[in-house]
Amino acid sequence: MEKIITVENLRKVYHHNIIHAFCCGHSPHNQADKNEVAVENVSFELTPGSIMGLLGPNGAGKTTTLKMITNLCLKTKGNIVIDGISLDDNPHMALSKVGAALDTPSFYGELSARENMEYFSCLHKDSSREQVMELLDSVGLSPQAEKKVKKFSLGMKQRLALARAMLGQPKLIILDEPANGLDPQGQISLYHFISKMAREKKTTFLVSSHQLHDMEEFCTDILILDKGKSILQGKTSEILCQKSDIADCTLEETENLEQKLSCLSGISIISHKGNQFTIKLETVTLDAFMRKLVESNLHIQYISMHRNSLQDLFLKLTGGTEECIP
Amino acid sequence: MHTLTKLYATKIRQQKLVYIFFACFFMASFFYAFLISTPEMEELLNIDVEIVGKGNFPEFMMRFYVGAVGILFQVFLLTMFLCEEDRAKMLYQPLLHGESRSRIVKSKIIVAASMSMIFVLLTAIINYVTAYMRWGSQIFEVELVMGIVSKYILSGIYMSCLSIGTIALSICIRNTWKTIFCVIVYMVADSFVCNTGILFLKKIWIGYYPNLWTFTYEYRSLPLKDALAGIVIMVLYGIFFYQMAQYKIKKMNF
Repeated sequence: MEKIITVENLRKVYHHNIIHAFCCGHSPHNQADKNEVAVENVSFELTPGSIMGLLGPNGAGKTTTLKMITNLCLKTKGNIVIDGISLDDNPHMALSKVGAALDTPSFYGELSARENMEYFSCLHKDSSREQVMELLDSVGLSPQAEKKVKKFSLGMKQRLALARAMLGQPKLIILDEPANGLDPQGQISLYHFISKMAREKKTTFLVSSHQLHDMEEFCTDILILDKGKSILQGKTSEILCQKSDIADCTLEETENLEQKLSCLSGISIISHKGNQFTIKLETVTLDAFMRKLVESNLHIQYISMHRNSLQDLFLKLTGGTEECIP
Repeated sequence: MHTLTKLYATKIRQQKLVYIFFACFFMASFFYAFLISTPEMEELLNIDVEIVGKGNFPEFMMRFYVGAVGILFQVFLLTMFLCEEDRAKMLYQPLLHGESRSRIVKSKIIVAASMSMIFVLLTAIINYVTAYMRWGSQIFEVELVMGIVSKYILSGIYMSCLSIGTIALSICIRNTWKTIFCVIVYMVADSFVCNTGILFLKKIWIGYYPNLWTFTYEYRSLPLKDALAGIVIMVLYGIFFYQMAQYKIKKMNF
């Protein structure tokens, strides 16, 4: 099947030295500081019309990965092929297929939204003033087209950044935390817009985000990074199919409670605090699990069940706690 | 002209600071032209208006611009033009719209070097206008004007070369104030090198030639040999700064 992007064994190591220390204002303390591995062996591929959610805790290497794909950050190792063109062989041609909105959206504040768009549209041969207005309209900014960008809210700048990323009709759009600063309605309309573009125009999206619930809803593919390494990736549907039921239960205190519980087949203990357990029902149903508890003389004080979500998976894989998630 | 160069030129043209600076420079030039010819000021500053005024006034003021004020102003403007764009995450935006790193540097350098030339031209116009307003047409003595114009052209080349250096330095350091600090260090070093007795070091030092034009051959015409030597050294420095900027931007992580 046609691939819009193929990334193989991507690696990034930052080398810090004295000159870097002078420029950035901090000096490396040890060898690990001097050679910081930001991304390690990340590989994935995407087909046209797919939406990949790039997830991971802060500092996991998401933005570095996106910047390597857009050639803003030079990779240490690995291959990137965009629409059949290698980024190493022909970066100009490969990047002509890519639109991106990275970092906090930045513009020339003294210029209006339209002027900013026209400024960048000059760099695209086939862009016209009509296309600029169409794009502003598509992100709901046409009423503010003549307003100076310095007066824009973060949410409005995010939408303008999305419009700018779409200049030149790219086949792949890369968005770094596009929902930052958007209100709930704004987030919903952004995700609807992305889904519509992917469905109707077969545009491929690579989106980094912390909005796990939304990512679960609208991404076709998921890639979770932690400490620069890929720890989970695949089709969202397949990942969530593997999810199992989770039971939160409180049992009456008895001797060796944890040991007795761990002897039960078809389950595994995820965590526990005193007599409160979080249990993964791997091969048994809730009814069967409750029967096993009764048969083992374990008395239930409280039990509830919920489905493992992307958030649970994320927390489990990255070793976080629920409190970590905003 | 390439689109990116045009866009950068527009950005410089839109800087209000440029207009404010030249308005101030005009006022300074105007008042100085009138002040130096008052007996009190002549006595106070111990100057002879017959030497520094009249036809020589544009050269006298050129030293003021090329020696310090102009350098500091253009360095400030160019570091703002590059480092602040970099800090605001605007420098790399053309890369996301089909431009190459090399083209960004090339466009910035073309704009910076042209800007320096134009600024020197503007100072020449301002100084001649104020001199004409003060002393009338007697300032236009053909041989004198030719000598001063050639010094202005050489100063334009020098300032362009410094602006290419500033762009290269900004790309390496990526910090406005640290870049300005480095240029101030250069200016201090310049006065030391120009006063040193080591002739070889002086001859390969970029700041030596403007010093030669403005002090050694003060109010005198410049020998062709020295003018050419200065141009060659500056072109070499310019090429070096350009290559350095190209090398650094290709290695840069945004």
